Amino acid sequence: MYASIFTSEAAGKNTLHKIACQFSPLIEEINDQTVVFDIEGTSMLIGTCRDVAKAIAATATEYDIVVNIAIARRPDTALLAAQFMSGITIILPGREAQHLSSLPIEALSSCLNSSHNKQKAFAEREAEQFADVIDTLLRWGIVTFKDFTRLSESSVSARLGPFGLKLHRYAKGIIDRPLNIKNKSAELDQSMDLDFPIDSLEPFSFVLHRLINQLCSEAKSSGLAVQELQLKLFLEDKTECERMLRLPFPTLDERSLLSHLMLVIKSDPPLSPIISLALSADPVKPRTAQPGLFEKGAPEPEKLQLTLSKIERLVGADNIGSPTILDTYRPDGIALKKFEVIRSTRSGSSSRGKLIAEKPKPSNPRIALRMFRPALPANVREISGCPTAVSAKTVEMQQGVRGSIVNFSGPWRTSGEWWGSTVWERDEWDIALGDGSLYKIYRDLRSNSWFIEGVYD
Amino acid sequence: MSESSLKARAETASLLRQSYGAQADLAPSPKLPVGISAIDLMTGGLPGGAITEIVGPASSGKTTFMLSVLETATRSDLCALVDASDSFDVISADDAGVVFNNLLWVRCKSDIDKAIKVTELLLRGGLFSLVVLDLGNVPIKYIKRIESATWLRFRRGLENTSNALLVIAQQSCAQSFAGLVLEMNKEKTVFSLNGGQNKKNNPPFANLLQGLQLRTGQSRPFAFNAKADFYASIPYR
Repeated sequence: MYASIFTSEAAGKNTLHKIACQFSPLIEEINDQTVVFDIEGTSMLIGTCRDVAKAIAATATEYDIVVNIAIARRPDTALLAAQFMSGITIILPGREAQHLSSLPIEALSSCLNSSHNKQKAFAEREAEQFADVIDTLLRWGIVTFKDFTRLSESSVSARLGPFGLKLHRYAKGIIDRPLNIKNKSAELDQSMDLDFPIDSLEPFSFVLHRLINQLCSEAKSSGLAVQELQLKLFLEDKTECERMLRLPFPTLDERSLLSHLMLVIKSDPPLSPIISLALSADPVKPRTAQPGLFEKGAPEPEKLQLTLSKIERLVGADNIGSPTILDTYRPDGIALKKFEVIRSTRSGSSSRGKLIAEKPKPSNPRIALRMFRPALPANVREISGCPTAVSAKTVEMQQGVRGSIVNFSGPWRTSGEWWGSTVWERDEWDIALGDGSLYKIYRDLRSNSWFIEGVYD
Repeated sequence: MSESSLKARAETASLLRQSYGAQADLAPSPKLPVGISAIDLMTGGLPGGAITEIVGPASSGKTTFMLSVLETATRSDLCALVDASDSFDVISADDAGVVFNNLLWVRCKSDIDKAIKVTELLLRGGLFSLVVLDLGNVPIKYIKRIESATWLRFRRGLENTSNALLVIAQQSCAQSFAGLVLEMNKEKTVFSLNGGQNKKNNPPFANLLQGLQLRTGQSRPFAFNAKADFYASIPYR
């Protein structure tokens, strides 16, 4: 048997759900004003269907709302009765059509709004079909469920199609379906009002640690983990500020969460003492990992992330990561991407399904270039278009360059991206100075200036 | 390792065994291969749990050495490069075969203090089997200002681990705190036409830089005549 509760008042969010929770764990929420739930087994605890309905009404009174309650053998029948019949309605099996007979034909739209019609396109198509069928029925003079159920199924099917037949069965109260139960995710919220304002980080970390502990315990008891934390701080000057922490992995490590959150607050501390705080999190499934037997273990993600966060705070998020080469011929066309540990399986493919191809080992060591970023402006003396001497001043921490050129190779012209603002055009040279050092220099053809790009080392 | 080093090690082990019994066997320290066979034969690789310094002037092959070590290490482990003067050339590293997914590059934009703090954080975390501190473009006067307590902290961070710290600089700075110091020098620059520029039949663009003949000498721990020669070529695309 199923019970449905409907209220026309603006009940608080989840109020009806909380009422239903006291009778059954199997609850389908239609909207904020309607729920239907399975009451099978409650007869042994409470009594007859009428006793159950009275108990539900008493519970609703405790929440200070007026509700309609209906109990029927099928969930959609109970829904229809609760929404369109006031008070308590008990529909015994076999008498559904009789109880629903006085309902107007438009009431069938509530059967389409039940939450099992999740897909928006499907719901829109159904709404169009429903409008057509209702229009047809009204033109035929059919205005109540009683008029509709008097028609035979075969004639309804022949004239209104399978959709009309479905509505006919709703009107008769003989459509059976399972409840669409959404697993309600645990809400992780903790807050605390302080006895006195806190204006330093050390005592604040104790308070925060306690809230994080409680949050993690709650998540753990639901078999969930935390990946994102939202911290709201209420300050003495009557303002609020928010801080967000998002980790690349779900975790229940309280110390790690506290360390990360304290780093976030240290980098952007509130401007006024704190009088109250609220911590919330969206729970997620905990991570699972199955490392290979012969695989080298990857570092703990919590420890790695904490180290990376500390380094980010020092050098900035733009200056830390894994290097990557961009798809361009532009000189120094590189970028930094987020550093992530990608495990490789025994077969050589990564756990993300991408193949980490092994680069072939070069037969000889390759000469490397040490870049000057930005390139050093240089003065180059030329004879017959060939460089003969170069000098560049010391810039910040970069050592200056000076000397006669004893050997050179070039010029090698390179240009590109002529269609945009990043156009470049230059002649490159490899030069050897008298002191044995080797440099890569270039002349920017657009500005006719010389630069030292790097030193071969 | 050179023959003299091996002989000295064997003699020391024998003396210790005589004094303290079989318990005094010297446990071999883990070594990280360099990837250049001549240097691996000479040193046995970079010592784990210790600081290694590679020093030399410009164009002596320090960066080539660094990329070779990174190429070997990133094949199987996580490595970090602390780039004090933002001089890391990604294209050269790609040519050398460095696996970028296993490399963390920290660009310190000519701030030595930040570079030292970052290195300390990485060593304390113990998550990277190789940390490279690249001070190669930093002028010597700034390197000399680094306090010796810094190197002591670095060594403490490496103690009881198999991780290694590789420091690239123009001059030795870790002094006695370094477990291995190698000096790099360039023996010869190889151009395809030696002195061929400006000749009538040899235009300058016909002269290609082909490679460098490099020499590595081990200065700490001192080993008599410990030198390794190798040739590094230019990768032309």
